[in-house]
Amino acid sequence: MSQRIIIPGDSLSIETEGIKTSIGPGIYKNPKSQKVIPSSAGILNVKVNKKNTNQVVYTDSNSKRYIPQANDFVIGIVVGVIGEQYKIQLQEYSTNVLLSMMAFPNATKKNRPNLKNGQAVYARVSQAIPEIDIEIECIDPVTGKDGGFGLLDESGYIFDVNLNFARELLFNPSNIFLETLASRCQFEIAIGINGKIWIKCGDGLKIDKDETKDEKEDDDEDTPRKVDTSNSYLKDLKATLAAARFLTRCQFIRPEELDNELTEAFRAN
Amino acid sequence: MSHQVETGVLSRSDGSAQLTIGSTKVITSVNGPTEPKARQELPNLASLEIVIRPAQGLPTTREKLLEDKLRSLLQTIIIRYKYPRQLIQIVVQFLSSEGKSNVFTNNELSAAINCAFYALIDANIALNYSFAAVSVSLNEGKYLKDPAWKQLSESDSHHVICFSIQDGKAEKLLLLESQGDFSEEEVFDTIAKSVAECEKVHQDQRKFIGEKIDRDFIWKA
Repeated sequence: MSQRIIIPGDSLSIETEGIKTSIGPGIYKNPKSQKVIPSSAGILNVKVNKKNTNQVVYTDSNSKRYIPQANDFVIGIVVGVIGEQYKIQLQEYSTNVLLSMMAFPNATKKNRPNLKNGQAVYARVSQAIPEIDIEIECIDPVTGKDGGFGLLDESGYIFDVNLNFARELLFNPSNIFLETLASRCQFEIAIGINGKIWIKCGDGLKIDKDETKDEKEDDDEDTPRKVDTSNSYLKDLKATLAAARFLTRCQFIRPEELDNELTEAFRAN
Repeated sequence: MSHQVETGVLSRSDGSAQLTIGSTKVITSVNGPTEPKARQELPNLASLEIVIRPAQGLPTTREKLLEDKLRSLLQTIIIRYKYPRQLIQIVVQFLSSEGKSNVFTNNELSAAINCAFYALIDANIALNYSFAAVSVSLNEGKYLKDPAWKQLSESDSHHVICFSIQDGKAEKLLLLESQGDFSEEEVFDTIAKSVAECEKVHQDQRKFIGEKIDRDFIWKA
């Protein structure tokens, strides 16, 4: 491959005079010396436009810890309320971000969204200044409608992947992973750039409320659970978990092994 | 003696590495940037929490001293202004270190520095430059890299030397720890010889990072 791997301390060897340079992830400009240096080890990408007036420089590398950037699509878990804002956790041990109750479509002071602790939302990072609290919103800023953001229903399954893989799934429309998965089952998916993926096949992990009650009673009476009624649920649940297993495994295998892995993940179904 | 490295050994930390140099084995984890405790928080840069645990027993003043040296080194290397109000935690756990005496910490310090480099790269923490360290001993003027415990105890003096690496070349002397009997001339000579050794360590680093990135992007067609 023609890719160039760069590590901290290397010189970028790019022309910055007379050309407008935008720096992306993994590149740092030292405010004192005004030098542009690579700050992380990864694959160097330099993209110059046709007129040779603008260029974009960034490195592509893997990591697990998400650092919020404006306009990122993320999945977060509600962990609390402060005044008129929800506290949202994007990753374990990371600083919580804020989601205003007004940042929902059609929300007013009186008509507030009702989110509970533990529920998941799909949102966009609206403001990411590291010195102050980071804010996210569940509203499309152009249309003012939900734009696919909002509460993720509880019948989906959320799991973690590496950040470089999450970026591939979300930004590369020609990636083969989701297509391969689609050849096996129907699914709904929400990909958070913070390494969280919400997935649901069919009805997902949904359990009928009456049924759970029934099961509880059954447990109390110490009789075996009724399996036959929940057979279709069980199938969707198994498919959801298998899909999650498949996508998790995809991070560690070569593209040619995908089909094998798919059969392997769905074998139990 | 060559280095044996493995990264991503701890699945639940943001970055980790295990390094074996001779009989010194160390595992390092890096977590961050994460939310700091209120007393650790700095308004305009990241705070560093460095914890060093010995291979046997509980941490003593010896580990505290090592922590201090590692901190003074890393706080200039990590671009801390990039992560204001955040915490970066680095935990160094020695798995085996030679010799019961706690007089010598040479090999441990050099291993901890080199292992921390791999773990920081694995965690994708922003660094100003790469760095590499070597542990050397001098016995009657004879220069020996990565001395075993026996050679260390018989030596006249021993040194830990860490260089910053820019474009594959040793650039700045970041750390020099010397113990024992030596003359000014000897220590300068040792530093000069270590330049090549640090560059050699760095060549291994570069090769390893290349392999690691290939592994990270294995799914890319």
